[in-house]
Amino acid sequence: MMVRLTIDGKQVMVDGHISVLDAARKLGIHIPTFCHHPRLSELGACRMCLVEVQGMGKLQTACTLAVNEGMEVRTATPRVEKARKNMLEFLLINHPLECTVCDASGECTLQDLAFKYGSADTRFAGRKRVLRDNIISPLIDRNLNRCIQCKRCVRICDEVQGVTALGMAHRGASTVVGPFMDKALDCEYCSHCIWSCPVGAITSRAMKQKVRTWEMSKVEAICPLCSVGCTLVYNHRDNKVFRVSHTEEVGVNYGSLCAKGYFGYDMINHPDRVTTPLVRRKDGTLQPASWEEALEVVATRLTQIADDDGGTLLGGIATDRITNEELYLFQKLMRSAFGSNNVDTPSGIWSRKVLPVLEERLGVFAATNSLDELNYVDGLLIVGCDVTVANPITGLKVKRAIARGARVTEVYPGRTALSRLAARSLTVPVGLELAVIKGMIKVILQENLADPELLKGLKGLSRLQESVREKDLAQIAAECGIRQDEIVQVAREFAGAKRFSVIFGEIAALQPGGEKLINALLDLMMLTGRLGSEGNGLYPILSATNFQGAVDMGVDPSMLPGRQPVTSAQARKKMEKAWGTPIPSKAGLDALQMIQAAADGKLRGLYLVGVNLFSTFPGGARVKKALDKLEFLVVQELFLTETARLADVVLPAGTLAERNGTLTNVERRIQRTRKAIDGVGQSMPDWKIFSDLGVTMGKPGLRYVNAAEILDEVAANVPYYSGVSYRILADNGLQWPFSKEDAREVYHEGYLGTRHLLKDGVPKDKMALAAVPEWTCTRTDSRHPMTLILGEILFHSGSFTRHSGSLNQLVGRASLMMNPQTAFGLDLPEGSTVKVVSQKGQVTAPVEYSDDLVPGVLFMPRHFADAPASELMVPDIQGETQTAVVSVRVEKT
Amino acid sequence: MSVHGLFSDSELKAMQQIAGRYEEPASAILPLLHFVQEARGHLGENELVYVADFLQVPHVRAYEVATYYTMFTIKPRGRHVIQVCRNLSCTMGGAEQILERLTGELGVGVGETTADGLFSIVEVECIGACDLAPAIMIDEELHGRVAPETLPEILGAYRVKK
Amino acid sequence: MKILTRNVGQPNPAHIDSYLVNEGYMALPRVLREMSPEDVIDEIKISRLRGRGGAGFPAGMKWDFASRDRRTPKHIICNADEGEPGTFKDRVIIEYDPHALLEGMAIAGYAVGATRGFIYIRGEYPEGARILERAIRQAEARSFLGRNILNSGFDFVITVHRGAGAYICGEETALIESLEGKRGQSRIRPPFPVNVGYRNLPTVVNNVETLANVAPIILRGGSWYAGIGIAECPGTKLFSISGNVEKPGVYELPMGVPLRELIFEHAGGITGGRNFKAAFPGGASSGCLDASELDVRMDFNSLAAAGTMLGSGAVVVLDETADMVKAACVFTRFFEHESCGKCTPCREGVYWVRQIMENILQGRGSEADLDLLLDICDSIRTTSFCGLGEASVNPIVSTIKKFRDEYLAYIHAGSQERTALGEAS
Ligand SMILES: Cc1cc2nc3c(=O)[nH]c(=O)nc-3n(C[C@H](O)[C@H](O)[C@H](O)COP(=O)(O)O)c2cc1C
Ligand code: SF4
Ligand code: FES
Repeated sequence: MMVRLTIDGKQVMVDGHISVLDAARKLGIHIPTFCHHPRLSELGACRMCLVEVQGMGKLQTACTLAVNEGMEVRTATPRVEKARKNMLEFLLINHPLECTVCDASGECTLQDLAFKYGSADTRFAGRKRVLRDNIISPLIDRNLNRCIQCKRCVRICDEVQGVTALGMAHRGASTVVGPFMDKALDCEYCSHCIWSCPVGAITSRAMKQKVRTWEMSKVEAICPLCSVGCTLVYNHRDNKVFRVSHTEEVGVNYGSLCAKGYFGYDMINHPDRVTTPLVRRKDGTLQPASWEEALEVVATRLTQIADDDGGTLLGGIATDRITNEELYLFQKLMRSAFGSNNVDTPSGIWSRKVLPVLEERLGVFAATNSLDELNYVDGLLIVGCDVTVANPITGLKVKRAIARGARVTEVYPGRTALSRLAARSLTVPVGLELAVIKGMIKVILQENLADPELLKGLKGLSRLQESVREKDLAQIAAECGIRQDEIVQVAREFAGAKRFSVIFGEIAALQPGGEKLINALLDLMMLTGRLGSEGNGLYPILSATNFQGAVDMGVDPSMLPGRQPVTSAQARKKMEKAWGTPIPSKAGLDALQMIQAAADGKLRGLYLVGVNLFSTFPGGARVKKALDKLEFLVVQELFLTETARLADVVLPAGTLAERNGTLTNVERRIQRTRKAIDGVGQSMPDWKIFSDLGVTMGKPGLRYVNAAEILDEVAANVPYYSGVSYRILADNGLQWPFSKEDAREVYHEGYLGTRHLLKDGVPKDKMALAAVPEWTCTRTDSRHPMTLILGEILFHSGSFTRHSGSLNQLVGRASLMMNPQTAFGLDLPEGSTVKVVSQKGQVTAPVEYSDDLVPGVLFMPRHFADAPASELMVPDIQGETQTAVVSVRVEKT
Repeated sequence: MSVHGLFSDSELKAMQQIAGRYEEPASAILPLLHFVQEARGHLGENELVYVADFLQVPHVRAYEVATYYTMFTIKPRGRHVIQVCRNLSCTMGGAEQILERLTGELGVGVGETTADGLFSIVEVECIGACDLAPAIMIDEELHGRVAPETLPEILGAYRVKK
Repeated sequence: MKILTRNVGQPNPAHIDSYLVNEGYMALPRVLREMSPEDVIDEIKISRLRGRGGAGFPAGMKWDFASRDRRTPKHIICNADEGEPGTFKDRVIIEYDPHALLEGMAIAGYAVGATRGFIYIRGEYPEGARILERAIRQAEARSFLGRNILNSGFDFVITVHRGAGAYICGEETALIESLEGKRGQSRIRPPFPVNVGYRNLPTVVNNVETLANVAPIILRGGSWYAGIGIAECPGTKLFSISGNVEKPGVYELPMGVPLRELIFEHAGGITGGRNFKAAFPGGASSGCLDASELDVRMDFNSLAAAGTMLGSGAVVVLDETADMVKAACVFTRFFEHESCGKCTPCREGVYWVRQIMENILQGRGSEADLDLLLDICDSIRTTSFCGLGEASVNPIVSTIKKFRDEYLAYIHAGSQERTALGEAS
């Protein structure tokens, strides 16, 4: 319903549900506010937005007043102006007026409004309220005296982040904002409270009195720390990033950030950055060298090795934290300059397990739907994924869905940050997720909840029915340790809701037998038609930043860009034509195989780009042995990592803040990232290093003047990136596949590209169910009876963020977490140091109790060097890799 | 922080019974805080965590509520809390003299607790006993038309009562 | 005429048996057997009963609004927070006639279609809460409350809910927030509680005294009630009177009784035979009346016309020896203490005016302070979020207006003292 009203004499037609404040903004009339925030419920407390309304005696708060047909509003009458002056005067009587040292200066609403509407002299001659403050957090400063009680921080923490770590204590003029009992802040450090504060009451300690807000320039970029691909804003001065700020206008995150994105920037100008190329000298030490020299060494040595046996003797592994252009160029370099298909990324371990299943069953190789759709689902099933940790902003969308009434069910070996909010959290040991899914399928079949029309078109139904027959629901529930009716209810919700999606994560995919679980999830979805429409989709969520880009760009031993098999002559021919060089026809080695080959002396040269093998790949000692055996190791890095220290040449690379390019996020969205500062020291963007190396090797085909030129090549050669350019990506990016029309509508707002795949449903020939096999709990052998999750925590991203002093202040070391019950059984007091032993290695770590984990399941973050997770990972047993879920035993030390 | 075993079985039963009166769990927060404060004298960190978890509300919610209402205290107080009304009728009836005598008698000021932990004095707003001004309330007992001279006798009764 | 205080002075007045002797629980069965919900609402409308919590809103209209909202479950909340300084009349009903309240609530529940009731009683009335709980158990035992009341199929369950010391929780939306387990702070209105109240469901909030009037109205008819007192605000009213009077206490008198009669005929006149100086007719929130206004009638409209308000009918009387500046300051301190802190003008403004008031009392004020006070008070009154802030300035504004000389005396005494000490500038 639209209504017409008049504001300051101007007529406007607006939606009848909006407030006078928003209506005025549409007319370009600015009404000052403090407590109002577009993402929050209205409070009407600050009284700054008072306006005069014809026929209403008292002044009204524009933020809370709904528009009405024929309403006449005036925003600049003497009464209104007096009220504004009064409000400012009231707020300033207790405000410390310490703008001189306040970090919010220049970005302070109180300062701005006082400047605009206030007056210089106050009539207040009394005593200011002076509140004693205490430090509530190592990264967030609270200053109670500056607080104007708008409650934005409290509300955003509750309403948006769903954490509710802040509250208002005491009352009246003594009201103070703070954490529980005014103790240390115990929260997700999402930064919402900081930037929602209209004054300087909540500020970042990380930039305290380091720089004035107005001295910094701002550049929008993509966060390098997870696969959501949030837009953040680097604030820099003198080639130094001083902080990250947010923008609400663009990006998948609508301004929200997580601790990593907000606080992790201190890595960029970290004093430990490698700033010049390093070459290993005769005396065995790494010494600074010029770029020319370093690249010459790399070119010569790698060419020598390549020349010996057509590229099979060398390989390259690149991080998925770099841009699409760089990933593309890296595999091109390896394939065309060195003739080697030995290219991989760390996330290959995941993609090669998940994508083949999706390709076979659905014909897709990415998340089917987009992240924003999660805001509006009616139900969500999350399996083996701590969403808030893996993808904090995706977690936020789930929280929003919950706030809107969505029924969320978690199947996880413990409780997560979402559990408190979710409709139910089914805590089952690793391996039994499959049992829960099987139970759901059983209920759906038994209760005939599936659409019969749909079932008609499905092959393999009887096989599926057969496979869920042997155990009854009560047995399944008992085995999982959950209530039978919980399975029944989630199955009914799943079958009955309009929009119901499925998320699965690392613990689901990377557990032994993970493919079975993925297959079962697909059966569940196909059975109920939960694919191919708005709000009905499957989200495989891996946190690695540009894992989808790496897949798309062909950083894969058996796939060329565009997911074309390297074994296909036709695909090869196309790329060969584009590159003007031959491509080896045999699939290469993946990362694990390369390490193995190196250990066996079958790989002689290795090119590592931003990969710290020691923390990413199984078996630290084994890795060391393999690297030692190499003839030549080049490491392109930001820091002198354990791996880089072993290199023959170290090439200093830049962070994402130092380059232009594109990345593809978890929902297939190709987004631009922009360069904020020049390379720190002599460091260069990875693409530039690859390009210069190509030139040094005398390969003009590898020479590019900028990243855009590489993107043009991608656009020309990667089918579903066809036509991509900076111009069409604009601010919000583009979800592949996209059409020419999408590409032309440059200024189109909101969505571009394909929100969800499988628009015409699952291809007919793929409408087939797999049977659900029996499940096994991951207690593989009696000597290693416990399941250890080598997982991620909210405050870190791989081993990369170990270099962030800020994030280390939040969590800086590893501990072994277990349910107190598990600990009592093993007689392990909290804090005691234990030895964790897997089939391949061992580490020591202190014990930490956590009620959140199910008994028998242990958790250890995999980010830290003091307990390197890679030591415990098992590279290969009977074809299974244990990287995220490992069988272990715990011993007292 | 472990709050297991903070309350006895019978206390727990009583709390469940209180919570059972409400369809909306959070609604039980005031009665539960009353109950816990009565049982423990004040609402400490553990108590608040317990109540919040019991009702499945965020911890900070319990803290917000406990500090908002003047009858709740997050700091320990004396065994007997003497509330002196300082509103108009009582002020006109001599509340200031009462307060003076009281602080003298007990040797502590407003908001403080005697060394033996027996008494705390707090000032309160109108307690709805203006017809009996000046009025004070000790624990849950109302004393109206109090004269300074009668205070020692009134206090004496609580000293023996414990 | 005694409607609400008829049981005062009876032996064991709170017991259900005493109540039953005196026509107790006769209205409820009649309602359940003979009347439709609409009939009940009509009867209350005919009675023109106005809310006794302070605002004087017609009870029948409020019930009508709630009954028209289709969302369920609905709630009846009895506002027994009685926090207005000087008020203690609801306490009398609770202690002497709790069943009248319960019966009124059940009838209200039936009328609007509510099955659930709460009595939000101020924390400072622990004895009152116990009495009410006992009364509820007695009523349930005789099927006047609970499930399937008197076999009529109507359920009505009442829970006593104790506040914990916050005057603002008497404000109905703050009360609802508090009942939901939050800090009791007023909500944005509209929507009003009749549509979006407890748990965002339709909710009727009525004062104790309002509800206690319901059963008698049903028994004797709305027109009977409408004939008592004065036409625009019929019925009797409980007045709590305290301060410098010989017989402070609660008096039930017809609406519109002159202030003079209340003080001198019922409350025994001014203590010690001294002269009357002023009275706050509706507690701390009301502006004061001076000796020239002694003949004002005590009802919503007459007091509003006199520039003040009836509020809860809490009359605080001050004799010729009283210090009006100090009295205003005591009330201001009260409002500062009770400001919930949500909105800027009330939180900061009252903090400020209290400091100015104390300054004046300490002899450090100036005449300019009086203009400043009036200006700030005007701003607080016109911009505050809720009634607390709006009313908080009444004591100051009315005393400056009517007893300016007392302020000036403080100011001049102070400046003389400063001159004597050589401090004056
Ligand atoms: C600051 C403030 C305090 C109030 N305190 C009370 C109170 O203690 N008791 C009460 O019944 N109403 C009080 N009210 C009025 C209520 O908001 C509400 O109008 C009343 O409970 C409705 O009941 P009634 O219609 O029966 O009068 C207060 C209002 C305000 C603004
Ligand atoms: S006027 Fe404002 S601060 Fe005062 S009680 Fe109402 S909402 Fe709270
Ligand atoms: S912005 Fe409207 S009251 Fe604060």
